[in-house]
Amino acid sequence: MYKIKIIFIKLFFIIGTLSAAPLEIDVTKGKIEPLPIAVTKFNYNSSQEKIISNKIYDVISNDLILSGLFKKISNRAFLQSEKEVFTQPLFSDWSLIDANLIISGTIKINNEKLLVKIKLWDVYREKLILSKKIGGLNINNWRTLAHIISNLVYQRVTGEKGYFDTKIVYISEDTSDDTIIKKLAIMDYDGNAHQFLTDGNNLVLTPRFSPDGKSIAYLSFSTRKPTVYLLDLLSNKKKNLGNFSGMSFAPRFSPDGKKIIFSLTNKGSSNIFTLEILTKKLSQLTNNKHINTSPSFSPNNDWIVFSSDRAGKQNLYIKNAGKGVKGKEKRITFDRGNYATPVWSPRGDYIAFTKSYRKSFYIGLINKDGTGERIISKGYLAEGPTWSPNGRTLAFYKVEKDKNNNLFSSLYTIDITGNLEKKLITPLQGSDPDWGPSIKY
Amino acid sequence: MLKNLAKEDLEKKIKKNNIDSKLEKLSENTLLEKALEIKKVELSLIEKIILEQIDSNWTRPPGIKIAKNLIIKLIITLDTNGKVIKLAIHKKTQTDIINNNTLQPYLDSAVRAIKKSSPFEGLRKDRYSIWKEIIINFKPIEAR
Repeated sequence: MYKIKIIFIKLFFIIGTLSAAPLEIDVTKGKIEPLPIAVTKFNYNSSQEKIISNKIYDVISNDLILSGLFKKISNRAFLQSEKEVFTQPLFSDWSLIDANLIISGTIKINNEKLLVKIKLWDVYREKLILSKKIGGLNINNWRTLAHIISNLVYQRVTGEKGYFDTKIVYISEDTSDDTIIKKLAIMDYDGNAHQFLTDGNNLVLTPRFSPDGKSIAYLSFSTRKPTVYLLDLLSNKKKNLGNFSGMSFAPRFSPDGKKIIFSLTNKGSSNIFTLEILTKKLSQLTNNKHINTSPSFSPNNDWIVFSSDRAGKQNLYIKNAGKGVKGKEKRITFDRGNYATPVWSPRGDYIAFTKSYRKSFYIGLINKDGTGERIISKGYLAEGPTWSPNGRTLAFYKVEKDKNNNLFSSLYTIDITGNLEKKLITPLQGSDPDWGPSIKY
Repeated sequence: MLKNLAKEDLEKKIKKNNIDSKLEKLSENTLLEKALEIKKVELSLIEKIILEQIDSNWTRPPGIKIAKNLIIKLIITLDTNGKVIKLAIHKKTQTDIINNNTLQPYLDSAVRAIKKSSPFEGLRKDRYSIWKEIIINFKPIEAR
């Protein structure tokens, strides 16, 4: 009996010791789904302020919904007024409708200038997590102001810079008659402020923004020889990139804006060159008898990625951009299929590409060392990825078949996780997008 | 003769004692093993109950930047009803956030998940000592 007691005492102590160390749990899954957010209208005093308040409310709501990361809660579910929320929300009330976050604000107009105060509240943490004053913008720039507010909210919640003040340039395709008319077009990232930059008389392709967003490089067939042009967006004047012996195509700016990288054809082959914009100095980066094209710089300007068919089919290669033709070129794709249109992420972590394999097209991501390839979108024809300035969303285009088997081309955006694919609304069909930079403010 | 008998008796006793102690040891080990097994099952059940509730409430920001091996470590204390009465951020996580401000949204999302899960349901009160304090490691899949 005595011994049994001892055994139980021993057991008690052993189990007691186990309980003394706190339980440790690893949470790895979670979910990436829209975060419920309550957007309250900004408080105002005059009728003019009321109009602007409503407009800003609409733009912020649209920005956050379009990002795919937020789910807007209907204003009819709100239990507090805009004024009360701005002073201090009753968090228990807001958690009842599962509002995770609340945006509140005030707006004032003084001498045609806007002054906005915004507050972002975290309902479950019962905390004010962002409080900002923004002023000095002209009343006509209410849309920019709204996008700036969306950027601030987005950055505070996701840790990434917002892209709501950016523009997208793309090729608009009119197929209403039997012929296809392709025009250069530009619009806000959300489809607003849409305008055509060319008249459609000449075929245009591959528009690419300069890093400051002030000009666009593109390929035009306005003369017998397809040529790269630079279009100044302010003056709307275009100039020839240079008179080269071969055909120039696939242009793209270096991230520092000092160079343009492109392909030049010569006797059936095409090689990659850079042109210094100020000095017009031309440097050759590849030199072989194959098709080397679609070059793109790394964000630090030191490396380039491009596609080449030197191994029999198109693959992606990287090389040090500073070493000219002598630099080593390293192949980074080895899987089946053809790899094309690589674009280096602005944050340097991934290279986006188009892949074609067995009658299907894919948009994918790969690390610069060739590891971690993953596909994020698929289509009958999916092509031409371009990065948002924060490097976490891509725009690209897809050609799909409608009910009558007619092909139509549309622009899409997708998150790098591959979860949030959204179609962009354009007046006509769209292809070959390029995502412009954020406004500096 | 008597001496021999006494010796034999003593040897038998020693032998018996050895068998007894072996049997004791064996039953002690078996009991311990069983107790530990029960403990393991209980722990994994409690872990499952808590994990399911946190997982369903954790909406994390996508696209982690410079955050390989990211772990957000929180220490929570519960009352007997499963309500979170204390939430502390581990020192390592605090340092990580100071060094890399872009991780703040991950901490926000983790804290939000805990607050939304409170009170935790389905936990046996007679096992309160096991779940009164829990360390939660938030490890986003993409950070591995």
